[in-house]
Amino acid sequence: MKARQLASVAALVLTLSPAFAQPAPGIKLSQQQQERLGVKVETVEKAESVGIVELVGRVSRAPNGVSPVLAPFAGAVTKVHTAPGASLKVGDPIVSIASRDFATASSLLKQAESEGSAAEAALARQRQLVDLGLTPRSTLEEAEVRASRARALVQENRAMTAGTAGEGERGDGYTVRATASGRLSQLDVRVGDTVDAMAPLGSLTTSKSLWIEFQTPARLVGQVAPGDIVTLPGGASTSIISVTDVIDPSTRSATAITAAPADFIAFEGQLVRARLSRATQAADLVKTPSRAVVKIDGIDHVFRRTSDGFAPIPVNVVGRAVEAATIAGGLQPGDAVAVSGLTELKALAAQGASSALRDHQGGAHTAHTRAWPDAGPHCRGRLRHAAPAD
Amino acid sequence: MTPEEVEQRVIAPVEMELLGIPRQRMLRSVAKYAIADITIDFEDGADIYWARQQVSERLATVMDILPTNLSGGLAPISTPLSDVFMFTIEGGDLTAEERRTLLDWTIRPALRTLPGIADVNTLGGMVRTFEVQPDAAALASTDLTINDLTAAIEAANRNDGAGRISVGEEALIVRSVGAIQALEDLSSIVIKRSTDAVVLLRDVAETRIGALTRYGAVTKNGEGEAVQGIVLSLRGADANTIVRDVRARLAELAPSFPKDVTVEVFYDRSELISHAVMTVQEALVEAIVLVVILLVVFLGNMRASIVVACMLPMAALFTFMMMQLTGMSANLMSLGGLAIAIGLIVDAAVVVVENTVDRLGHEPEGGRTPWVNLIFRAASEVAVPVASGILIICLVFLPLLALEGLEGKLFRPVAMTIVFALAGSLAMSLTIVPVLSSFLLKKVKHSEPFLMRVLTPAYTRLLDFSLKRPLPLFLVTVAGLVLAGLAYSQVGKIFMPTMDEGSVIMQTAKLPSVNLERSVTADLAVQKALLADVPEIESIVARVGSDELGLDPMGLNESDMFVVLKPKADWRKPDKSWVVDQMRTAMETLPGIEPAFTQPIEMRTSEMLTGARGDLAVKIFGPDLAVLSDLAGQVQDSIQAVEGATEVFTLSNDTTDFMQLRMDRIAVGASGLSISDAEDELRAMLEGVNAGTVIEPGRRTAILVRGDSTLRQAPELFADVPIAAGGGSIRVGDIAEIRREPGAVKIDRENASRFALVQAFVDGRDLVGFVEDAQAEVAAKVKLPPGYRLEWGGEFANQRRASERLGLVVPIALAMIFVVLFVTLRSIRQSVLIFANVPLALIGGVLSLYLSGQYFSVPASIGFIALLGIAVLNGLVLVSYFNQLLAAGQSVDEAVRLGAIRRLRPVLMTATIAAFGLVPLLFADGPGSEIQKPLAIVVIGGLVSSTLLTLLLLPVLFRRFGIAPGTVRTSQRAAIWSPISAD
Repeated sequence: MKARQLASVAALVLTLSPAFAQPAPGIKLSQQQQERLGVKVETVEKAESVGIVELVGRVSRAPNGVSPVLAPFAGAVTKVHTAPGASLKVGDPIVSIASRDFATASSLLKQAESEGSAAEAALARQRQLVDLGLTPRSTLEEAEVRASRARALVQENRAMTAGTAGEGERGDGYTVRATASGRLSQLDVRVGDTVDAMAPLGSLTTSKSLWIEFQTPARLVGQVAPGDIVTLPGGASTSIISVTDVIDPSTRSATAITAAPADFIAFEGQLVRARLSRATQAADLVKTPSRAVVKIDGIDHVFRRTSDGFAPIPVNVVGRAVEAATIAGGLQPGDAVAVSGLTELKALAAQGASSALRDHQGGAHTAHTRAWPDAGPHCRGRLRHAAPAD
Repeated sequence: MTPEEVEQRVIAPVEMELLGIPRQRMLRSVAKYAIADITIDFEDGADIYWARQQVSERLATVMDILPTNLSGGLAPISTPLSDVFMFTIEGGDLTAEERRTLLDWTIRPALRTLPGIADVNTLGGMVRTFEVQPDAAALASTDLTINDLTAAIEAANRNDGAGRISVGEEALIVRSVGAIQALEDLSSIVIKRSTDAVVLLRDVAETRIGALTRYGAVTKNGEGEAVQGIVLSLRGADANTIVRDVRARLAELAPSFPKDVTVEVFYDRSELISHAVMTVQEALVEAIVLVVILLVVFLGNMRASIVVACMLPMAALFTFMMMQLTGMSANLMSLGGLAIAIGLIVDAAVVVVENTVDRLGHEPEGGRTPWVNLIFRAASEVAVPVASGILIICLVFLPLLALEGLEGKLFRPVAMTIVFALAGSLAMSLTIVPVLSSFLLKKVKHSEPFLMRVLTPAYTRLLDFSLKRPLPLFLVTVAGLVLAGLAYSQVGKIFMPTMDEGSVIMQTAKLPSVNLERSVTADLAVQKALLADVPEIESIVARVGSDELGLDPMGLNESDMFVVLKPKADWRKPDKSWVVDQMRTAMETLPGIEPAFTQPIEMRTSEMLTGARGDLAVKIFGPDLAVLSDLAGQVQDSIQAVEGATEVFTLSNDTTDFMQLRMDRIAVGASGLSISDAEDELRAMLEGVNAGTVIEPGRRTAILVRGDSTLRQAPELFADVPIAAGGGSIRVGDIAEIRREPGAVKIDRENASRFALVQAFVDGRDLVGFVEDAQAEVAAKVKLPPGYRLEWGGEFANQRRASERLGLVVPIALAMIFVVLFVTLRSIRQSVLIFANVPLALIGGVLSLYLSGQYFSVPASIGFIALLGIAVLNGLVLVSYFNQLLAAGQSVDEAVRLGAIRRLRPVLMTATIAAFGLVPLLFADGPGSEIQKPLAIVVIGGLVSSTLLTLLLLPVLFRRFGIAPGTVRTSQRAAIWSPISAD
């Protein structure tokens, strides 16, 4: 029986010579053997997409949904009216700042205003005088110019202090107010801090839309492209909007950006692990669980279920992620591949290959027939090169 | 560290230091992943404490240059036979971690204090740790590395005494308490601070109670993981006492265990010992009974039989006294020696008593010679022949004392006890037996016992026929010799029969690259299958991978399954090899997992002896692993082609896959890290690094910083883990080229040179011839590059060593026997004639070996040696009596015929008693009987052929060659062997 089997294996190998160019012979495995070894199978599906990579991204606010809170005049913070995270309406106070610049600006405004009113008054008087013909027309024009200059000056000074009102005992304080409705997402100052003119004090979030920025390793920059599908934890998916082609020296990576779907609940700064894949129309691509793919002699293989066991099939893995691998060639959708008990299958495949080789070379190979207890070869750490199991 | 790293960074410097210790015989080392195992073999008789002192002195000097994160030292003072007691912890719904904690911190310390225990090895379960699992991205974004984390934890875990403060006239001791006591303490350690904020450990890492990275696991009965303890006895300690003490201590501890928790013992060496000793004891008792019956049957004199039988306990007592004096223990082998000697012990006493009975019988009624004087004369008459007879048998066993190695350790006690017993019996036959005779023997009318009345006439007819027509006898003898020659070539030859230890260990090998999780799952599947298919199995405890002490570091693909069998009465078929075959069949339903069967002690001893088993083990020494592996393959193929090779294999082709990170020096440098920083960081992520210890009541728990478990399950993720570097972060993939490459699973070295091992099993032909063919084949086909050499060893080497030693010593013993014969007979002719008996004994010995299906082994050859002594003795009995009759003036023809007939009883008696003394060993069935059995078979079979042919052939030969032609002796001055007087 055994001899005949060996002979048939040898014949098979001879016809297929050279033996190793061919896929290794199939592994016979009965239903009981499969159950006992715990060999489980999963069905291969047609790949809708090719997995590219898994990346870690950081959630950020979409840039058009943020407005900064600015302090128009340098000064020191005297009061904080609200806390980071508060919802604000237009005009709600955020911080009060005591500012010499503001005081100067205020006094300049007052000065300009009084100068303006003086110029207006002078203009009115000149107009009367001209109407009365007491002064020449040119004087009136002169006064008009002076008045309009004073008006411009008032306007300029008023613009500088727009939205603020003199506060404090000396009137040198002003309050920064919300310029739009939204959430105060960040406030960087505390009472006593000094701020520069036009310095951002924090930011006001006006829209809920989020981005996810993926740090893309340099080796992947060429592979990730706008339009690639991003599958987020929980199954939500979106697509890449843009990919930078500049490597940030501190993170050694480029950035791929995607807009988070509206129903994706995340917070700014949160780290998100996502799977990138690309839709494909190719017909021969299939998807298998990643753990079904094993390396045999440096080549990726999967074990496909056959009528009486499994056959190692060399495959070309075009995309691999933690969960699933995308495979080109060798497999059809609907094929069942082994996803557990793979080490045993791999061992059997190796045995099949080596015993086939030995028979091919015509080396003597007889089964070990000694009766126990002398039979037990000390085969620790080794897989015996035995004949294929019956 | 990988095996090659271990070899270069640890083993090489240690070996360099250890080589050259005086009295060292062999330095063997194995490098595996994360473990270096170095074995030094000292000469026999070197003191273990002295040797350990030498090793630890040298180890201390080399410790400085070894890598810093290395721990280790000398293994406990145990031997491969030290695993005397094994148990698991069951019940009480404890988690794997709780069970391990119970074993590590309650049971182990309690057992270690017992005398005679070297250590308690603990396996399986989970070792409790405080686990800190940093979030790689969070850590990188705060610009911290795992090393920073570790340093912060180490610096925040101390209690200290600051000194004393005086209060009035008293003093207070100042104690600062800062040691970590709970997870909360750990998670609130500050690891980074800025002016207005601090980063706590909990901000960047999760803390929890976890488990150390495991290198092995224990599973039980297909049910799940278990926790196992192994008690290791100190070298030379008495296993019985230890087991008794351990059981007592465990019983004391039991009340302190959590509810319902029990310790389940699955291996107890004392059971085996008592079984084995019981087997021999039974055989001894049975042999004594048989011998006494035979005495009565042959002598037909109850009182004489009692006197002779008194010799048995006395000689045994004398033997025990001598054993006590020489420090031997009553073990399987020494008691076995006594069992062999039983049949020989009585010989001397039989001669003395028989002569006495005869003397008394022939003394005329109312003679004047005093009773005591008669007895004295009877004893002194036979003193010289008895002494020379016993001397011959002692001489025969002397070569055994010269055996070395394992066979020496086993059979030297056998020879010693036999020599003691015989010496004792000789001394007592000449002292106590006459005294007893004077008390017990009565004058009896001489009468032939029934047995002799039947046998003598039959023998007389046969002898007459042979003397008349010797040709058929010669033909039968020649045919017998030819048959024996044929049988010898057919009998399998092994070194030593395997002793049945009562338990089975099934070693399984899986794919070398299997991970622990799958290995455990597969082990459980194997156990389920075995328990379902083989109802003889009571329970199975399997261990995979390495143990805690590193005494037996196996790979993750290797499991030792300890199979406890039900009592033999419950078996479907009371045959262990059948049960093992059933297990083998069951394993066929689990292809891809290769089983091999051995036994607990056998497994350990075979590893100890050569580091490898197999009839033939070829070691190829050389520097390069790839070349070695290639050569091993070539040697394997060459030996495979030699006729008789059943299984040839090599481990050196075994590879496992490595994920090789080839560090890019420029990328690493540019990132602001050093290569060792980066490597430390990587190791911390996967393996974890120790960050100190938490002292909890009654135990010390390690703090382990280790990356997220998902990292360890996906190489894709690992490549992209961010590492903080120089203010930014980099990924593993940025600083290293990641490749998957095969690498050696382990590296073997002997005397500081790498070697590859090819092992072969041989069937159907003799080992020595096979080895010669294999050597020729390998020499022709395998070209060794310069710097490479071959060494041939294995079981074959043991066998060769034993046979070389015996080949040297047996001729010397034979020469000495010849001298004794010559001194006794004063005739070279006759001495040669007696030696001609020896081949006759071999006929029966070899044929019975062949017929019983036993192998030719060391015990069998010892049987042949014993046979030699008895055969020579038989010849001597006959020849000396022929001489006596010749001296009395008989013609040669008459002397030969009469002498043979009259000596029939003593010859038959010596042979039968010797043979029946061994019969119980033939039928013994307990552990240890396997070793005695071939010996008994050889002796019994040989005695049958030797006795029959001696009784017929020797007279024929003596008539033709016994006396120099033309000389008819009229006077005979030589001492006469006359054990039983003429009737």
